[in-house]
Amino acid sequence: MNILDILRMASSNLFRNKVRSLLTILAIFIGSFTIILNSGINYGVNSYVDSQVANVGGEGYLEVLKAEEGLFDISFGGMGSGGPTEFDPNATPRIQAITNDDLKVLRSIDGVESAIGLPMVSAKYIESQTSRKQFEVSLQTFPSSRLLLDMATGRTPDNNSSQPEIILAPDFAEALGYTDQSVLGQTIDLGVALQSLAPDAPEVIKNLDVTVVGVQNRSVVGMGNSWVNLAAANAMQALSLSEIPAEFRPSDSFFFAIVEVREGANDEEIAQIQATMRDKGFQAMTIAEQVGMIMSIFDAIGMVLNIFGAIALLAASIGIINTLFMAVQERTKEIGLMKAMGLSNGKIFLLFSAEAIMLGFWGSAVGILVALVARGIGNNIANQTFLQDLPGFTLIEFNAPQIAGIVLLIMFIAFCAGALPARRAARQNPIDALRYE
Amino acid sequence: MSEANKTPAPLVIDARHLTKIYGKKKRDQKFTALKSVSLQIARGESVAIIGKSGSGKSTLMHTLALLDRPTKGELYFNGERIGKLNSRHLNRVRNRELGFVFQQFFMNANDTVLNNVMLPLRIAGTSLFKRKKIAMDALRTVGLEDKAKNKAKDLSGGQKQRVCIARALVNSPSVIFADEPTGNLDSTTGAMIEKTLFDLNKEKGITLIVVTHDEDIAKKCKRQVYLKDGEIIADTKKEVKLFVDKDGKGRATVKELKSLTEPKLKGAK
Repeated sequence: MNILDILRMASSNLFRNKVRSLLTILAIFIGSFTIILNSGINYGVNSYVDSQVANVGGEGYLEVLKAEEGLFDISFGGMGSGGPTEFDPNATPRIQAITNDDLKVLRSIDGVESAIGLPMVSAKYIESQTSRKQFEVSLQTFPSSRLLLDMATGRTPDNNSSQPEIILAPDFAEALGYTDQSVLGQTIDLGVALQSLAPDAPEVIKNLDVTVVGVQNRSVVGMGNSWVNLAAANAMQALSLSEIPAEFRPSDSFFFAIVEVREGANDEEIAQIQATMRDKGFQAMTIAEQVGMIMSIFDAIGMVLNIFGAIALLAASIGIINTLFMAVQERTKEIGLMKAMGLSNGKIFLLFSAEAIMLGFWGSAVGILVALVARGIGNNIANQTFLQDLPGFTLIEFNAPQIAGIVLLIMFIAFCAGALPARRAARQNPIDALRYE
Repeated sequence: MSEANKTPAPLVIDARHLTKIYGKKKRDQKFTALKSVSLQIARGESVAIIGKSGSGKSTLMHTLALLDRPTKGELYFNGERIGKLNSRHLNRVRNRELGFVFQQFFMNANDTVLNNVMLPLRIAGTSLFKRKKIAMDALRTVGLEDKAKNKAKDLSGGQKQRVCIARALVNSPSVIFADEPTGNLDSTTGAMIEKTLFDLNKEKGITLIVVTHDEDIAKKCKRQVYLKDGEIIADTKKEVKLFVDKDGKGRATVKELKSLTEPKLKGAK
């Protein structure tokens, strides 16, 4: 009996017991659907992260905090192991400001090209000089020329320029009464609140002129921020402190330092630099790691889905075993007859294994079809809700080799599940099988 | 011993001192189904193996049909010693040389008649085109070519058994084993099946071995082998010769043979 005949026969045997086969396929489908969909999400997220990271370049600089290791666990609050930490008056704070001395330490590290403190900026509003309309704005200091933001038009801010510059978050150009093109080169106002030593003094806001040099596309890195260059950031800080007597102004200290590494440094060298910084009490992250952290929520969802899918497949495997044991029982005489007619044990084993593999195949094929439908619906819903601000982010994306791999894996699992019943079939004694009532 | 490995060519089956014992472990549970049975069957013979249930006739057939291995003794099929064949070769002999017709038909009821008939060819790995042609020829031989596309379950009992005969035929075997072939059929249909089987034996020269407890079908075979308690108590191929010497008529009928063997049995007890 050749392979084609075995497949044909296995297929018609499955068809003979339609209901039973369908139920088994359904069980496999639940597992395969979950895993296929999950891999789709995984792929969608990863390719978005990749495209974002590719957009932002980002490998050329590090964002550095002065903090002890495990800082990022803090975000989980008391949920970490060990419960609340006892207060120790002599302990150093978990996060410390970065001083000019720290910057010197950073600059001394091998492979570091430059290190600057990044001033924190905030503005009460952004104002159009033509329409005088004011909007709330979220500002960030542009960290490095190596950050290649996804720009709709114009260029990124120049930190070497002495002119205050800004690039706008998406939609701002229109709100301010311009188009993305016409806003380039325009001067707009940022409202800076002046700090005061008098606790009850009324808030005074002064305008700072900045020049628009670019407009961004939506992106996970941009995150709806408008970015100013160093000159603008320094001017804003100076303006905000202008009412405070010089002796009361805080000394130069920064929350973040931006470290540019030697041009063309590879991942390994950057990891080395990060390790050195960790030894010196700093925490350094690449832009990819930051984006990855934002996306780690999807990894957590993916893990849960994968576990669910694996459990479903395990249950489905037991279903396959059961189905095939019933088939062997039912077809005992047929097996006996075929053996009497000279069909070898190996071929009988193959015949039943082929049935198991086909169950696996159909289960995953249905899984793919339903996952395709789910992709359409899921992406639609996601784009209208939580991914609204991230164009270009397709939540579920399928990738053919990955799906083919999943299908093969499920077929292999089905084969393993079918091996026991198939072996029993192969070992039947033809006479006993023919006598079987 | 070198002589033992070869038997004269015309013998299709040469069984020497076959013994089959079931239940090996404990002596008191041992059951000897065949006791040193020797049987030679030449090409083209029609042989009935007759015995009541428990006489060992099924065990003998299974052993001769290579479905079961004897505990002791030697079996030659077309001159080849069976115990020495590997399973691949054994499967080949089963597939190419043997055909089976069973009382219970053993058909795939939901499959078409044609597919049922093609099963041995499928196992042999014959190409689809060729196997359809051969199977249709076989169906024509049993007069059922117009039923080829029907489902097996829609046939009458007699038609089913003819399909089984067609299935036994397709590999052009040298031996067809028929195990109570008319057991499930009424006498008219049974007679038709018998005729089909004996025609094959005469026209195609296929050796026919019928296992039965039915004297009527046994009578139609040229040779009868009587089995009781695992032993051959009469074999017309030998007995006839003996009988002819006494009677002078030249040919013994089965009835006469029976009357000859029965007192022998009584005397043994």
